[in-house]
Amino acid sequence: MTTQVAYLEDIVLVDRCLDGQEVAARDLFRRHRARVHGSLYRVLGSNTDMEDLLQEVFVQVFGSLRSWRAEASLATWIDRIAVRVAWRSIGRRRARPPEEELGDHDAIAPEVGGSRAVHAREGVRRLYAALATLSPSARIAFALHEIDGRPLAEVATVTGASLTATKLRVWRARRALHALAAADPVLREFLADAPAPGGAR
Amino acid sequence: MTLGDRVPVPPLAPERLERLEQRIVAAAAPALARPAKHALWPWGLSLASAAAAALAVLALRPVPTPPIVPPLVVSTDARETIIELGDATLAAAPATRFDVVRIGGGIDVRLDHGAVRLDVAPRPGRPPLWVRAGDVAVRVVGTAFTVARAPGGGEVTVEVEHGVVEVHRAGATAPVSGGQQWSSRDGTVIATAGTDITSPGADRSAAAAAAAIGDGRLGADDRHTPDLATGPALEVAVLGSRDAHTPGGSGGAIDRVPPRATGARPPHGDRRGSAAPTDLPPAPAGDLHTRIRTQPLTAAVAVPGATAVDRAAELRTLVAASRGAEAATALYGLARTQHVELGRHGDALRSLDAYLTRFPSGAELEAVLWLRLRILCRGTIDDACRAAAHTYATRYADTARGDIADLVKNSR
Repeated sequence: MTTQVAYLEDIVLVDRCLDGQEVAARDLFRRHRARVHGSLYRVLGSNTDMEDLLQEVFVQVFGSLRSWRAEASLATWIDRIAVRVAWRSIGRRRARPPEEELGDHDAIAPEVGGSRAVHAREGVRRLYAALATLSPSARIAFALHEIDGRPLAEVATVTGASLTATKLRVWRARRALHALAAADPVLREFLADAPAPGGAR
Repeated sequence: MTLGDRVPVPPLAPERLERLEQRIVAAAAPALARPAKHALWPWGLSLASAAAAALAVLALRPVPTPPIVPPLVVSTDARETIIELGDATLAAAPATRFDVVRIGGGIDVRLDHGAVRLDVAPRPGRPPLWVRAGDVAVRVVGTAFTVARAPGGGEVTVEVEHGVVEVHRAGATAPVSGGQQWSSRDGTVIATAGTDITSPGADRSAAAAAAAIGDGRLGADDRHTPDLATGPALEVAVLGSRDAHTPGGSGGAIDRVPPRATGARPPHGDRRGSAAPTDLPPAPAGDLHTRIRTQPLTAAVAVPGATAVDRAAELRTLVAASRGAEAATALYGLARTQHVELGRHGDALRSLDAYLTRFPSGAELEAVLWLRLRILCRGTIDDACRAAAHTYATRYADTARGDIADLVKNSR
């Protein structure tokens, strides 16, 4: 019944939003912002422009809310929009000079300090530099599955791809990253526990 | 330690989040404003969201195709279950099964068996709430009423306490007023005794509600009486349909068909497969336009977009960027959007012809041929209309739509 109740809550919440209730719009944003933020961050590797991206996602969400037909959960529907926004952002970032990327160094947990922090930061920087060489579809699939921890089926759903295609994208991304790591000790160490290309999860 | 642990997400500062929330809520306000009373579709979306959606359309290639997931199905056990639906309270009797879906922004409660009682707050200017029992659909627009359904998908009666309801069945629409009762057995409206029609605002007592549940009836109470002729979604009242509205059709006017039962077979596309009474008088052969229009259009893929133009643009992008079944689905969706939402019937026909050329055995073939018939027959029933009807009737002879197509092709 939990899923059903959550589903009904979605329906009710959307209905209240469409009734013009501002408090409902705030509630929707607060319920979903952390997950959307996490996904965008894990795909893009930076909080650069994050507020703009979140705004872009939720403006689209509210603008299209009437078209939500409850065929999927509201979270899944919102995540699809977030993936599109991430996709676009990747395209925009590719047009920027590389030094503008990962400039905020905020990808490391605050409790990690000293040389470990520097090392971890460098690992993250190299991971996302490597991810930037992949196709957007492979990058998004890998980031959502391997970094954001979503099941492959869920990744397939939010990216609109088949499960097979999603597996293939993740596998290609792993293969490419491990190839890059072979020549990069820092990245190799950072990916030490990540599944090898042949690994299944 | 997983990669996720190594890439923690640094939270945004609370004050930044607060500002962001303010901006988003402010930007969303126009999109979430109640539609105008006469609007058939929520056009009042902000320019910013429209621009953002349009940019997304241009920038993103393969547009995800939302999977078709069955609607929520709720089954109760031996206890009565009460669920708050925001401005509606749903009380399901023991051993009841129903599902809930959203259609065009409204709420659709579809009773499979058992009983459900609904208390619904006024929904002025909003998409309607529907209650469906078998092949009978009742639009909650401003009344208190009770629907009873006999076990096994048998007779359905609609008894109105005050106000007016629309009972939709097999293409016919029967307005039923306070103090009247409609029955699916003969499609007639009769006066009922003992119904208080002098107090339209009165709530039913808890005892009456409990009795309704206990009798296996379901009810809804919407203490508001808006203009029946101005609500959206006037042609969605066909069962099992996910069609939100058909602005290209009657332009918002209700098809004032005299109360009658038209045919025993559920409309094509009714996935519920509920049994319909078979002792009903046959429908008159006339008024083919009404019979065509009230057939539900097969649902199309849902794509984001603030306006129909945005959605059509996104579907065009999807058609161009995809292949095979995905492109076929998008092409049908494009044609449907062009016809239903944009009223661009010529463009819709071209999209349908493209579909038939590219995907002669596509999964949406039946829907495509019906939509083509619907477009070509929306005016005079001429040779082009009859040809489309002939094509449809030849392929789908043993369906409700096939019967209509057969009537069209043989009409004078």
